[in-house]
Amino acid sequence: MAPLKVGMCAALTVEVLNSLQNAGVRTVSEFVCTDLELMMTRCCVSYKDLVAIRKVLLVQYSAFPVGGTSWYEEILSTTAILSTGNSRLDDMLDGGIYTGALTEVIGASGSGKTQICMSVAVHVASSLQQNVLYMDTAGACSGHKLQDILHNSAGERESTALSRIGFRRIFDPWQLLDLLQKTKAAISKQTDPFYSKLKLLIVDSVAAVLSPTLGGQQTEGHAIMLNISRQLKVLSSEHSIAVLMTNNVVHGELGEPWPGLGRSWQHIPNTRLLVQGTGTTGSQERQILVLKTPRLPRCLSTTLTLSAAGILDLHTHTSQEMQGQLEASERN
Amino acid sequence: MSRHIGSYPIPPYLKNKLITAGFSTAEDLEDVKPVELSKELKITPAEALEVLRVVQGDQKDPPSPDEGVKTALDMLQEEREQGGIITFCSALDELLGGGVPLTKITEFCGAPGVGKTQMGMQLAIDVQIPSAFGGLGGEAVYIDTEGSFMVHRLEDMAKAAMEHCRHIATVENNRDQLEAMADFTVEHILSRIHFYRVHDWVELVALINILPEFLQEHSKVRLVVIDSIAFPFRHDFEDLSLRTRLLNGLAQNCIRLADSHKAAVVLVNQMTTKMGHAGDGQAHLVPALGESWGHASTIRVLLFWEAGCRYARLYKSPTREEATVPYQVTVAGVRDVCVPNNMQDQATNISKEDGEGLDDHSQRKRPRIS
Repeated sequence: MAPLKVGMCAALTVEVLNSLQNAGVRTVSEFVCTDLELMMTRCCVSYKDLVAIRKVLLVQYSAFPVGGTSWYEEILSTTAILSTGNSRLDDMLDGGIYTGALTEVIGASGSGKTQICMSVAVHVASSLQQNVLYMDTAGACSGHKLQDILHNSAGERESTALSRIGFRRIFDPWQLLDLLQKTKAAISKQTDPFYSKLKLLIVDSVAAVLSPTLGGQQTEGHAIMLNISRQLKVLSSEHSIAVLMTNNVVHGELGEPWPGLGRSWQHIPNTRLLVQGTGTTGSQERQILVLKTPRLPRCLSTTLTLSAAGILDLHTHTSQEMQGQLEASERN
Repeated sequence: MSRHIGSYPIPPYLKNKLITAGFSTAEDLEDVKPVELSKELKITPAEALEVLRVVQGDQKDPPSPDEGVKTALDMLQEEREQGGIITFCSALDELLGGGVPLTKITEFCGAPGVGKTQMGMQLAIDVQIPSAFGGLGGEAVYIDTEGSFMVHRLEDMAKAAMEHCRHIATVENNRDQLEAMADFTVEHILSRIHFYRVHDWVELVALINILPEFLQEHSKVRLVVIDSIAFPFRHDFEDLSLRTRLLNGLAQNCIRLADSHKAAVVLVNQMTTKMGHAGDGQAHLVPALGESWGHASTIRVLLFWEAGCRYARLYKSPTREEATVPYQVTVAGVRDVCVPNNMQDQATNISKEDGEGLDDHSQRKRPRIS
């Protein structure tokens, strides 16, 4: 919380501030939390002045109430739904990836998380012509693959689409925090055209940077994790950006899949998708399951195929898909 | 810009002091002098200076305008210039998309005796192929944790690689290539492999942490082989959560190393038995070190025996599709099984000649010919 300063309000003069500081009241939160009568006896400031200062500070630092209707309208005008480029996935997700929300893809190694990220990045950059910032923490993203996906996709096939994908390699949580802060600053400055059209932020994967600092006797790692998650949330909701991230899978007591990074991380993403193989080895088919969602019915699932074009499908609505949808609706 | 103090890399006890004193954002520390801060927080001036350097230094850096945004297009350009380390087995190279890629972690997993160490040694030689032959002309760092590194064997393979290149140079009569051969002798090859013998995980973790300094001095290193990553972590390790954390940290250090020094990191991993993996109650061979380690490597190749033949299966790759190819380990090193073109033909011819020539004194080297 901010420290008390002269000029915050009319009654907060230099003398008052000095006497407050002598009494150990330095920040706004300390001022608001301390009992006024106690403060009056300690600092010899009039009760009336203290009440006035408190009132001003509360008004300055409290949140604004917003009406439901106006909030709804604001959401309608700022939220975009970014198509993933795969019609089945879009159908399942009710249109695609929402801006202002955190979407997490979890899966075992080699299940295709990075494929999904790269495909979505290419689709958003080429077909939707929006900017994407790709943060690669495991060195998994490759320019060649992005180009392959682009050439096999249905949208604009010029390589210039790739210049809409900003790319950063980061290897520790401090770099990630730093980058998120700088991205936020660059968006608010509105000077760089790249950042003003930024619609999708991909972090592949969060587990790779966070897991070395977590666990054991360290508490610092946990703080960084929550700090990063807060930055992601602020970035996504204040600047209406969709955040797509990947995470590992760990196994629960009964062998059921759980997202990595522990319990507190489970609450962070708004939507969580599980990618897993369909059982046969060597098959490129993957099942996508919705594990957590604020909007959709529970336990939706669909299957998609990894190919040279990533997960982008060229032939929409096959018979298999109809079957998949039937299965999904039956399960509901 | 009001960045919270908590998001800076400052020691936690200093963070606490800062926050109790009312400095919660970078803005609050903007015009503060080190002396004032040290008095205010009752910390040493050196600590205060450090805190201010971290926080203010960051603010002075404008948000990445000079470097601009590096885009996927730039990355594609970089990748095109990079190339990979070939294995002398064209099927395997094709599987990996032009050999073992730089700036990535490639993991070879396999049962004992399938040729993991051979693969590591072969790559350590192949990374040195002069640029006149389309190679990288680099150096290699070889970290041996098991004691399985055989320098006699390496000599054989280096000799075969040298003969192969000399053959190409004489057939094509290319002056550049012939000149390059002067620097591509067995002695030179061996002297360009920096060998570390590591005995336990403490040494390994320490080595990986100081390796960036070594690579700074030896800027031509394009390959780091760790043979094997599993051994130090599979024995005498009680605290499993510590193991996971160490391995995750190690993986991040490796990928950072690979990225900043444009090197390929090759990890060799063992296999372990897992029960009921696919729900059928059967035992399966899976790579060791557990599931979370599976995320560490960018590319994962499984080496296995089947019906008397060695196979490599691409198990995980962000760029290539899963596939299986055969390979063999001859006296000369890792080679193709069937010969698809002329050049490979010559290569195997040479290797066979070598094999015959060396037969009389190669008993101690236990060449595995399959």
